Amino acid sequence: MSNTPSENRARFGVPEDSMVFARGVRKSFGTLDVLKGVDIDVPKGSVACIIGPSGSGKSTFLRCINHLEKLTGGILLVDGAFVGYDLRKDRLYEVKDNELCQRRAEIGMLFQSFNLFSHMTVMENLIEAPVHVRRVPVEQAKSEALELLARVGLSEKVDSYPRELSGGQQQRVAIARAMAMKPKVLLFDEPTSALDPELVGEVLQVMRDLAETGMTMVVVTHEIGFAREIGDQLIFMDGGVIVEEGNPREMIANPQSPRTKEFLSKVL
Amino acid sequence: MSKVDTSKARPQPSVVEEVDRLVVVPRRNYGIWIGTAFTLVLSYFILRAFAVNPAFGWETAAGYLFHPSIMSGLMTTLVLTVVIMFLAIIIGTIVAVMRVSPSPVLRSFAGAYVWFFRGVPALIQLIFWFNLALLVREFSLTLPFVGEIFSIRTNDFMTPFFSAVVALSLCEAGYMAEIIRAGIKSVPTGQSEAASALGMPYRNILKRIVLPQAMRFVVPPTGNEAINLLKLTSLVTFIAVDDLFYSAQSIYARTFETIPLLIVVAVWYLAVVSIMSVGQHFLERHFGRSETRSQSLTTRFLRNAFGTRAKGAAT
Amino acid sequence: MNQLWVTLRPHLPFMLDGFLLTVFACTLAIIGAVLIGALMASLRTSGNRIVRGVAFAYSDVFRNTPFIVQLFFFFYGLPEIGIYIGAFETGVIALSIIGGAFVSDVIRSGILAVDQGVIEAAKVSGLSRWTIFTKIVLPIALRTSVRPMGSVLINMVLTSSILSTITINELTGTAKIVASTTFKPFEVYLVLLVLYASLTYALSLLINTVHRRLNRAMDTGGAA
Repeated sequence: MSNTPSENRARFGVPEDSMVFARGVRKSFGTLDVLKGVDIDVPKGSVACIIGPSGSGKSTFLRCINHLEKLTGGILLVDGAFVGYDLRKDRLYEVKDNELCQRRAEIGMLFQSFNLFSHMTVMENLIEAPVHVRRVPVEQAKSEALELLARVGLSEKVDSYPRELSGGQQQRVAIARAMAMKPKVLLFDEPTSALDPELVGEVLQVMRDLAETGMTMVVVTHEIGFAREIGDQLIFMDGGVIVEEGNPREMIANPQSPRTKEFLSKVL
Repeated sequence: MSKVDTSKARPQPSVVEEVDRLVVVPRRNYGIWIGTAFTLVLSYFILRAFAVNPAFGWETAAGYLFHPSIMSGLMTTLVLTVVIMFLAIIIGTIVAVMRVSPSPVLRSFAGAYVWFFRGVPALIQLIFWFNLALLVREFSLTLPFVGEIFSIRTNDFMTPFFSAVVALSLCEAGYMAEIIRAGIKSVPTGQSEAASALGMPYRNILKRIVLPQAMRFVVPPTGNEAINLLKLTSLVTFIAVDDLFYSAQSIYARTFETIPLLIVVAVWYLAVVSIMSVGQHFLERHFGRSETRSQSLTTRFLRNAFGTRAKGAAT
Repeated sequence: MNQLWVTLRPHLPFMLDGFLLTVFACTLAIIGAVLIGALMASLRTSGNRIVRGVAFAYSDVFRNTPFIVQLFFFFYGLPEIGIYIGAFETGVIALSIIGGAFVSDVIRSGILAVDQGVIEAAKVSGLSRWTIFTKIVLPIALRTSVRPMGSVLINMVLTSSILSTITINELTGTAKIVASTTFKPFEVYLVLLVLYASLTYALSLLINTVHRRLNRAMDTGGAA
C-alpha cells in the first residue's frame, strides 16, 4: 500500500507544509468542462479564499477536494494523500466506502444551505458523526459538543431543532458540527450567501476566530472584505481556470488581469 | 489566458505528466454483486413456484385469454369505466362548485356528500343500490290535481348494470369533487378578483376564468382516478354484472380452472392499466405536471423511449 | 329511531364482533403494509438495477390489478403451491401486500424528496452509506410521508370490506348477513356507515398525532 504523504511528496513534488495540493485538476460533466486544469497550493494553517462569477467552477473545485466529485484528470492531495484512491505503482485504486468515510471525516465542509439534519436536535447533529464514524463514547462526544457550542456562542441552543434557529445560528451550528470531527481542513462553500445581511457578521466572526486558531481553510465566498481581512491568498476563478491569484490585499488594490478588475468592480 | 505568476512554485509540467500516467481502477462493490445474486435467486424461485406448478396452468390461461366471454366481460368493464368516469366528472364538478360556493348551505351539503361517498366502502355502496328495491318499491311522480303521471317499479330499472353505474358514479364523484376543488383552489384568487373587477358575474367567472385554469391541475390526477376506477369496477361482480372478473368466475365455476382464469383477469387488468398509463403519461407531459403515482415501469420505459427525463441533478 | 333500535338490537353484538375483526385485521395489515412499504421503498431507491427492477415489478403488479383479483389469487392459489392458511390470514397478508405497494410509493417519494444537501453534509462528515440511509434519509422520509400515507391507510380500511368476499365475517360480512335476515338494509347500512366513519376518523386522528409528534422538529414541507 502506498499513498503515504512522504512517497507522494517525493513523486509529485508536494511541498512539506501543503494541506491542499492540486495540479492540472480537470472535471467534466458529460461534455461540459467545468474545471480545465486548476493548480492550487494551500499551506497548512493558511486561509485561501476563492472568488469568481457563478459557473466559474469554484464550488466544483471545492467538492473535488473531499471527493464529492471524482476528478476527470489531474491530481488533488489533501495533507499529501489522495482522498478517494490508493496509489500502488501506476494504478489508482478507488477506496472502499468505509475507508473513504474515514478520510472524509478529516475534511470538514460547510454549505450555503447549512444542511443541518432537520430531524435531530443541535446536540444530536453534533454527536452523530463523532459517535458513528470515530466511535467516540457518547458522553465524551457530548461534552466536546458543549465546548464547541460555547465557542460559537450557542450554548443555550443545545436542545433546539434546526428550524427554531436563525440562518446565522444554523450556520454556526454547522461549523461546530464540522469542528466536532477535528478536521485537518475546513471547506466553506459560500457559507454566508443564503443569509440575511444582518446575520452575515456573526458567521464571519466565527470563521475569523477559527482562522486565528490556525485552522486551514478554503473559502469560496462573495465577501471580498472578509477575504481581504482574513485570507492569506486570494484566487480568482473564471471559466474553469484560475485567472489570477496572490496576496488578497495587493490583488484587490491592484488587480492585474482585466477580468479580475471587471469582476472586482462589480462586487466591491 | 492571462495567468499571473505569484511567488508560489508553479507546476512543473512533469507532475501533470506523471499524474496522467496513472490508471484509475474502479472499486469493486461486492455488496451490489451479492445483492444482485440474492435477488436473482429469489426471483428465480418465486417465478419457478408459479411457472412450474401445474396448478397455475399457464397454457390453460393462454387458451382463455381471448375467450369470447372474457372478451365481452372486458368490454363491459371498459364501458362501465368510461360511463362512470363521465358521470363522475359531471357530478364531481357540480359538487366541487358547490363546495367553493359562497352559500354555507351548499358548502356543507357538498362537504357531507364528499365525506359520505368517500367514507363508505364502495362494495357496501354497490350492494346498497343493488338492494334498493327492498327499500323503495317504486318510483312515482304525482302532481296535485293531475294525479299520478309516472310510475315505475324499482326492480324494473334497477338492473345490476344500472345500479353499478349509479353506485360507482356517486362514489367516484366524491373523489372527483375533491380533485376538482383542489384544482379550483390552486387558481390564484387574483384571477377571480380581476374578473369581478371587470364586472363579470360569478357564474361567468367560474365558467370562463376559474374552471379552465383549474383544468391544468385537475387532468393529471384524473388519469390516476380513471385507473383506480377501472380496478374498482371489479367489485360489480358481486352484484352479478358480467364484467371481466365475473366472466372469469362463471367459467371457473364450471371448469374449476380457478388459478388460470384469475391469471387471465390479472393480465387483462395489467394490460389495460398499462395502456391507460401511456395515455396518462402524455396528458401529464401536455399539462406539464407530474403526479406522485407515475414512475411505474411503464412510465419509466416511456421516459427512456421518448427521452423526457425526470428532473434530476444535472449539474 | 326506536323502531331502528328494536330491529337491530339483537344483531348488534354480532356486528360488534365483525367490527372488532375489521379493526384487528386492519391493524395487522397496516403494520405489515408499513414494514413492507418501507423495505420496498428502500429497494426501489437502491443503486442496484436488478434489485430496483424487482421492487418496481412488485409495486406495479399489485397497484395495477384489482385487490379482489389478488385476494382470490391468494385464497385459491396459496393452497395450490402447498401453503395452507386460513381465510383470515390470507386476507391480512393480501391486504398488507397491496397496502405495502402503495405505501412504498409514498415513502419512495419521501426518500427522493430528502434534500441532497443534507445527504452531502452527512457524506462529508464521513458517515457510511448505511448510516446515512438508516439514520438520516429514512427517518426524514418517514416523517414527511406520514400525512400522504394517511390516505393510503384509510383506503386500506375501506378496502378491508372486500375481505367479506372470502368468507371472513368482518364488519361488512356481518352487515350483509344481518341485512339479509332482517330485510332492513337501509338501517343496517346506516350503522355500518357510522362504524366505518368512526374507524377512519380515529385513524386520521392517529395519523395527525403521529405526524405532529414526529414533525415538531421539522418544517412542514420537509427541507426547503
